[in-house]
Amino acid sequence: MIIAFLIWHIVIMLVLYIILNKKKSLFDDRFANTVAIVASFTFSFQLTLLLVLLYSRPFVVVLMGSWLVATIVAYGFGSFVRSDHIIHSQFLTLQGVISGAMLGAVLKNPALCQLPLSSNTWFISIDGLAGFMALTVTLFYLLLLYAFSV
Amino acid sequence: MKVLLLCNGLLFLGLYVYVFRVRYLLGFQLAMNVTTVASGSVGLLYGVLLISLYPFQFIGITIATALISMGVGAAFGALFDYQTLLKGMVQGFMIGVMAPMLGALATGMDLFIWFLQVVVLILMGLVFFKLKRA
Repeated sequence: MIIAFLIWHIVIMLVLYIILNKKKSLFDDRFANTVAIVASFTFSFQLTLLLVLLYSRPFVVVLMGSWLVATIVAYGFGSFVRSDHIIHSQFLTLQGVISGAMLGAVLKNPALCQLPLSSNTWFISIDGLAGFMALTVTLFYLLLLYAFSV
Repeated sequence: MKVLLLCNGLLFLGLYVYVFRVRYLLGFQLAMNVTTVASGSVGLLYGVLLISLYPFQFIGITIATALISMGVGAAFGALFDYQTLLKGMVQGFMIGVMAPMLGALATGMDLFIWFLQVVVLILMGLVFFKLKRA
């Protein structure tokens, strides 16, 4: 299930990048900044969360690999109009990677936060949370495209 | 805790009504700051308070807090434009997902919750001050 969410996430990110790259000449400075913030944070957060849920054993390697991929993507989203936005997108990528890693680690081992994990139903489970995050990130990407069109 | 939840809900409702009345006077920078502060504060407070109330429902509280703070960010941002709405939602999502973890670590620490409450009240005071001067 989580692998399916990961593939879905990468596919919609690529689609979003291709669409935005085609229309980048129409961007104003503010919209380029919004793209850098929204796309880089949501992509890095979701990617790290799913990777930590999938492969948590060499935690540092997963974290660094995820950060490396997210950094490259953030460079792409941040460099549409001016290179200044790359700084913002890189910072938010780091924030997203750390947030996603923390949430993933707590979900794998709730004792980190002294929590018991009650997961009897599908919705209130790790898969359910990953699905919710995938849905939310898709919503953000759609809103980003909608914000461009209005 | 439940009284605090209710009082904070009323506080942010009051802020929303006030921002709604003065929304045409605000530039996009101030609008974005107000939206970010509102969604972030709601996410932080509600995440910590809800996980203190229901510590056995971590995933459910995480989803609920993310939805509440995204909703607040969307409500404040919708008063201005779509980009503000989007940034408010992202900020709410960011804080709303992280706050229950913080709250879980701080379970039983009432002083921490009161500290957060005071910080949020100071932020609200700053927002009202800036809105008055706008």
